[in-house]
Amino acid sequence: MPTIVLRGLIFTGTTSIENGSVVVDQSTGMIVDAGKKGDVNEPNDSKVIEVPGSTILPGLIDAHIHFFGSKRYDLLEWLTTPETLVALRSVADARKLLRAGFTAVRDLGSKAAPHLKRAEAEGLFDGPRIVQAAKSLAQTGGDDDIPLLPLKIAEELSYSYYCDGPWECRKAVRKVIRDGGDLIKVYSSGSMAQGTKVRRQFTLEELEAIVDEAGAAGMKVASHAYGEVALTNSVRAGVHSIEHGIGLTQDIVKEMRSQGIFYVPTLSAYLAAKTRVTEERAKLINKHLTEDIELAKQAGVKIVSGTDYVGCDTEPHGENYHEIVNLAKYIGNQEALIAATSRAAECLGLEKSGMVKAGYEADLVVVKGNPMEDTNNLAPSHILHVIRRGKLYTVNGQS
Amino acid sequence: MGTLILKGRIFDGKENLERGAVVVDSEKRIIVDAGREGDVEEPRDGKVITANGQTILPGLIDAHVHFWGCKVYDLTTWVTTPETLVALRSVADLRKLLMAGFTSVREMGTKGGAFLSRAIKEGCIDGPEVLSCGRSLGKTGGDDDPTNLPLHIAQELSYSYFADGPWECRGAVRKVIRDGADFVKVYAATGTTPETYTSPMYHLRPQFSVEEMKAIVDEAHDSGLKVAIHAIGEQSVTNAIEAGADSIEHGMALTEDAAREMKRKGIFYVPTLGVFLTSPALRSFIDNPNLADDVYVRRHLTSDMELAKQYGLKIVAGTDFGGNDEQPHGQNYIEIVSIAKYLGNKEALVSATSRAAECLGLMDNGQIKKGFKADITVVRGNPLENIEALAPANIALVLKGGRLFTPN
Repeated sequence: MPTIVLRGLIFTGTTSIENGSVVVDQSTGMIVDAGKKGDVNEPNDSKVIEVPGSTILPGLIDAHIHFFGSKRYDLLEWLTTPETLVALRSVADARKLLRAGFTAVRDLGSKAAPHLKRAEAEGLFDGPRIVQAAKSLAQTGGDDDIPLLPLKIAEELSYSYYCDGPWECRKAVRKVIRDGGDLIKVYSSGSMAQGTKVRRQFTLEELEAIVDEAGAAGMKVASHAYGEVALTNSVRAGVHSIEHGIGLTQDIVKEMRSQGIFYVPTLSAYLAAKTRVTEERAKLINKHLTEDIELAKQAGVKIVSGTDYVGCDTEPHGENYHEIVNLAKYIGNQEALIAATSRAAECLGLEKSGMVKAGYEADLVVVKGNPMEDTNNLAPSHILHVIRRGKLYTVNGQS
Repeated sequence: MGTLILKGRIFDGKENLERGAVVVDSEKRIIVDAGREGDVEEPRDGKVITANGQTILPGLIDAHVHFWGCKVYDLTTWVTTPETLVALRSVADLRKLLMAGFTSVREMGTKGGAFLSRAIKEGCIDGPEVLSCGRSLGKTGGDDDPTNLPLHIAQELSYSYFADGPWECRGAVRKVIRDGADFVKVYAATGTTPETYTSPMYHLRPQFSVEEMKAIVDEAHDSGLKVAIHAIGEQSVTNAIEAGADSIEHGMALTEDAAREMKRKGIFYVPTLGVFLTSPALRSFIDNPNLADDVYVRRHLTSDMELAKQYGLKIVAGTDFGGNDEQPHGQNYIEIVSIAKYLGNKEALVSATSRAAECLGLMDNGQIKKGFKADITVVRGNPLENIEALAPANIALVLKGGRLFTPN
């Protein structure tokens, strides 16, 4: 059995262990043992990795990305770049993510995602595990429908299925399942890409149909929601996670807490320099970065790290650690790390991942410095080693 | 990375040089100087790589590949595997090709082939340069038409555009140019997919009239694109020559007249021996002399190759490998070994380097020569003495556009 032993400070995904040791079985890709160095049985013939001043963590998880394979933050470019080219460009993005310490991502809507997931699972390229929603669900004239194009062309090019009415919504869920999606992504409101007003999209009845149909197939629903109406509808419909979640209220966070709904505030997307926003939008964003996150924190909502990066020049894959740094400002370093490891794994439904623990998958990262003291130690320049499926990638430093 | 200096035995694409040196500018991605050690000016800051017991070659070229992204050799599987998945699986195949010393390939018909070409140029994946035909051109009910499917579905799923009549043929050329094709591939015979030649309904027939193929060649040449024609059978080969093909692919059942005419017109000959030697279905014609030689496999491996040699045809190495289990990418050197049995090691190397580059229209590639692109493969041993030195296990390093890869 070829094994690797990692020694040093461990962040387990929930807490820390000083002078720890982790034993990885490279043939099964599993963690055989982990804990205090003296308590762990280290096989004699193991390859030992012990870098002074480094920290061993569960591989990082980004719970909200898109593989758009586009150069610019531009809806028309996203829709009109051929799917095959998007996929090939995403191979480079997947590699960058892995080498930045990310061993799992959740793609919430892109045309090529099911194929990327399958090809990565076949081991054809190096990248994080891909959990994905295939195409998203949106109403006609919804978030990613470019009104300048004739409707049928917009729909053919879109990364969403357009559906109106509970039965079309159910059918759209079935299409995503046919495409190989792991979960359902629904646009319950517009977004920054649209006009000034924040409006709900889909009625409560439609959202309920989507959640019911998805649930019948054992699938969870992630809801993009801006504004009180869309948030309330999403919570009532029983979604599994709220994405962005701009405009939280006391009532909404209380409900999220009691139902165990995950909250992915995607702070980085709003901090990334992109298109101009109106004054009204700027106010909403400012509130999101201050009040929303504070409300969620106080109510004890399960906050998860997700960037909403799409892989364009202003939101490049590989720089996804920014979300953890941004979250840390509000919830502290330890909670931010939890949000990007054990809790993110829970959100993605990865039962044996996100922890440095015996019996868990050996998705691990070794970084220079201690991210519990400063989350900037998760920057790509600090990534020393990444282990995914038991395979060791040495990014910086010596193997 | 700056400047690299490779020293050792060089086969420059045409000739052998025992003590040579090559200076590569990694930023400009070209060979700055090459020749006899001592005649070549070596920049002081250059990083020297000494190829002791090794041979420095131009990067190898496979002039006839497909990227099926499937395990099996089966037309229905090829056409029904989603294009995006095919492309992603081809990422691994492209890497294997590069690590096996191949720095350019000519892709003869693959859905999404032009995107592979583009992704390589953009640098988001590693692999050889891909010259792509985009989709190939076939006739309705032709070789690449999965006739078990309704026609409109077959057309949508096919890696060919089906075209009938000279004007549809011209339109199809315009479509592949729109798709980003580097050249045009035409099927001038039917009955060459496994489904057809193992079927009791088997017919080998020419496809496309000479008039249609002339229209294709005229439209392609006026747009600056070469035309590669798949031809099997005497009539099909004759038609392809008459239509003005730049290269004849497979070229089964050569006649003296055809060989003479190919020589006169300077048409390249890509016999794709690799596919015939590796496909069990095709090998059966070799292994079992009692089988009727319907697809001319036995004739191809004997009299075709002898005629091609006798008439001095410009033979080019191309495997027709598609990345399936029987024809895996990475093992493409098999073609060079196979050609060497007829032409000798040196000519076989020429067919996979300088002459292949000429066939592909890569004017600054395929030779270790000042000003040429820095596509270089260094192998352990001397392939001029033992052609098996080109096997993947012997590849010491590969330079692709001056960028260094160390496969083993």
